[in-house]
Amino acid sequence: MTKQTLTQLEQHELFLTRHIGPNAEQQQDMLNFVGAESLDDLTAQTVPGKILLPQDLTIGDSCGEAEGIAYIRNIADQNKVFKSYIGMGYYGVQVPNVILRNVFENPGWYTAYTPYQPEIAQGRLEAILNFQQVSMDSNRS
Amino acid sequence: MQNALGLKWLLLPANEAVNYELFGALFQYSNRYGQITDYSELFATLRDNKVVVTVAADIMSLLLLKSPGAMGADVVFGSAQRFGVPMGYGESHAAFFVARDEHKRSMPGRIIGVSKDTRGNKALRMAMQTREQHIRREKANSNICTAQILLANMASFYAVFHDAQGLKTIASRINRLTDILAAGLQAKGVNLVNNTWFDTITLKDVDVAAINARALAAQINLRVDADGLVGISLDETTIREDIAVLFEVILGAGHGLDVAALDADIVANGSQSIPQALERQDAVLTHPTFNRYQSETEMMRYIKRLENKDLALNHSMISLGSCTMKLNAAVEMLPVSWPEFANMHPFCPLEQAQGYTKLINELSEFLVKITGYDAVCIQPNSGAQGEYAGLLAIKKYHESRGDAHRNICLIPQSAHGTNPASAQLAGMKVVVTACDKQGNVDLEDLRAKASELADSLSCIMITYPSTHGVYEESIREVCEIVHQYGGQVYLDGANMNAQVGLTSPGFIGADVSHLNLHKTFAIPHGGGGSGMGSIGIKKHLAPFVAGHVVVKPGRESDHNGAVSAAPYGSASILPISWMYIKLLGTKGIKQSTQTALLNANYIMKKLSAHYPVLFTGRNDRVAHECIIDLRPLKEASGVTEMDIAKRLNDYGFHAPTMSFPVAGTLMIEPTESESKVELDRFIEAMISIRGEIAKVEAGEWPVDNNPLHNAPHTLADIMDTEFDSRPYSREVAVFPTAAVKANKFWPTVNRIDDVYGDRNLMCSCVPLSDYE
Repeated sequence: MTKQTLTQLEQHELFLTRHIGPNAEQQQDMLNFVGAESLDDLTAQTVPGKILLPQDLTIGDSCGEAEGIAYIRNIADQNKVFKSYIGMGYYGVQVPNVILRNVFENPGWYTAYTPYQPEIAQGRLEAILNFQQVSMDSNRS
Repeated sequence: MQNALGLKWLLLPANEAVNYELFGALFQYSNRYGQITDYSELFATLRDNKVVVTVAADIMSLLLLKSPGAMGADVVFGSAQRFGVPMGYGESHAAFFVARDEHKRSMPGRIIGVSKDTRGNKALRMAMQTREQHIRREKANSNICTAQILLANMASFYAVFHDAQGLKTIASRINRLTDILAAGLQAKGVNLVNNTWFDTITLKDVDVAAINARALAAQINLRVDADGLVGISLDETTIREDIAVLFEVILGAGHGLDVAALDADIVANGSQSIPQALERQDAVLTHPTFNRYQSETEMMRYIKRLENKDLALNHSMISLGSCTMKLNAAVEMLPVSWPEFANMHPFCPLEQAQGYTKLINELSEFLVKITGYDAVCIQPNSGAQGEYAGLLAIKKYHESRGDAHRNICLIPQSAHGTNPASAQLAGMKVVVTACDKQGNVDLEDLRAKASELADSLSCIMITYPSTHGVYEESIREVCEIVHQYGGQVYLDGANMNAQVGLTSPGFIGADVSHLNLHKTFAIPHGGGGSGMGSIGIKKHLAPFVAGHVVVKPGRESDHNGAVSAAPYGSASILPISWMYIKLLGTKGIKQSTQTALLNANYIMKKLSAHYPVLFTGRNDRVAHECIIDLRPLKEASGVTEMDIAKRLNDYGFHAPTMSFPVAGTLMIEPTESESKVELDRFIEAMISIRGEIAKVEAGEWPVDNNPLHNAPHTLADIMDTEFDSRPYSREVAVFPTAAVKANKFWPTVNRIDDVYGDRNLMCSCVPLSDYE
């Protein structure tokens, strides 16, 4: 049987380890290579002492994905979605689901950067060119 | 009235425009009441008088209406939101901005142009990029950097999917439902302000309070912000049942109107809502792209086909320095799609938006702690807009103290090009201060200029850690010097990913900063936007930040102008940053920063054996990014930074930031989200490339015919029999390492000719034959 406590088994810091790329072992390898004992040691070697915060911020404990979603679900539920006829530049839309799923919610589209390297960005460049065409077509004589 | 640039503006009835000597005029089409007017004659007169005519238009209406271009407008702009992008309590949405040919070279922002690659094939790229960070500082007429590419792409796909006919049907349905609503109400004696419309009618002489009460009871929001008027704008989601409900809300029960009967009447007798002269005659969206993806299968595959051409974070690390391409976790993204966040109108009554209010307040509190400031203004939509908002706050602060003459903005040589452009737009005069050989601010020069210009000193804009990727030791002194001479410190938050949890702009001594929520706080870059540039401020500047004319959440600053159309800017993407901070917590945000330092220093030390590292700080450390200097290699071998950037594409990587902030360099920012495995893969690629450069240096490969010069390599290259004459193998070209072979990314075009594209600027869809 594991000697871990229930709190440990609940893995409240699991998301943290998902967000940060190198795991503990990799971090130690890398620290050894750059010549620092720990992240704090590397920080002390790198950041001028006079601007280092004297204590940690107080943002709150790390939390898991399910917990985070529950928090924000509660916040979302406090918004009341009425039918809007206000206009003024903002209108209700039906996002085509094929676009919602394949573009808006697709990291292939949302995690790319500005197409500074066009040779590996011809896809979104074509999509934007289409946007320009729509803009010009609808406005020209 | 006058804006920060000194342009005076007058608010006039449209037909009075001809009575004034104007530089430009801006018209709304439709106007605020929904009225549509043919301005052709007026525009002709104005243009004869050399007035630049600009029109704000509604993209959906233009499918049915005579285009502003046909009326003679010079510039037309508007929101593309209603092409399939949710309201999201404000933004983020794409705008369109089009102009007559003669204005194209003075248009701000990004334009995609058609050029050709080295094989002579059609290839696209951003045209005239010199308008961006490489712009000559005194020439800047816009500080726009962030675009809204993800949202523009959604709107573009919306048009592709629906095609011209489908879009016209949607627009016609909206217009028909508006006709039915208007006809029913008029039949019952309700008076309208407007007698023409596309989708909006405005009721007058009505009991606004009673109507609004019935509307709210039916969970409906009407426009009631103008005295005695009720505005109603219909949209794509409106259905016939909604019209019946609106009749009840406005007329009360027992009105006896029937939507089908009203429709039959309109079909039989026609409608005057769009006068004949304003009906669109010309075809739109005739390009075949808008007529071949109407089945969902075809559409899904078109999207996938385009996606496959692009390298994003779901393929490999994008180590763009100063861009902080960290993980955008799925869990952070989920809430953005929820209707409770997506389908909120930004001007809905505040009591309906309690969730957003709570989210914004909590996020602001997080950001206040993280920045060490006293308050946060969420509104600005991008880093550039944050800079503008922050500088305006400084300007107003000085004015409030009788120091309106303070208009000098000091900017160190190492600054991002957006800084001087923002200062220029805020009506300030830029004075550049020197950097020393290590890339740090030259304190003597700063002190000399600050003291010499003390009477007119407004502020300094400084990035920290510096754009050179080091923690400058003297940052506190920089702040002290500027304060000593009466200036304010704008600390550019582009590099906040090296500060969070370790230090803060407030603690360092700055007065205002923008935060790139799309860098540091996990909002994805979306292929080039959206972003958020919320600003943190010290107490004394808080009364001077952006407010909003419609939504007034009771802040001190509500009387101030807005920098964005919506009170909280791109509110719909704020849940991402909230989730990021909430999930990581105190421990996680600090560890993220520390790991970003570790990853950068690891790469720097690994690469320093092969490439010179340009700048380091104390103990030979870099901050969260490092710059490698390629100039000596270029000198020795003829291989350029561009060659190396493109060669990295062959290895499956996006190039780091090239030639910024120093020409001939690459700036690498790995972020905390990349594992050691990925860092090692990148390092392996860079070392392998160094070996290739050595072969060019040694004369083994000619300078003008080697894998670097010819990069990136495409399938077309290796299928070409002429490839046999190259001095290197196909294997070297496209599978230079085992890792690449296992997970190959194929660039779809060869190197693109920028000069050709800029000289022959073409920014519309190319003939289909070019794709085939």
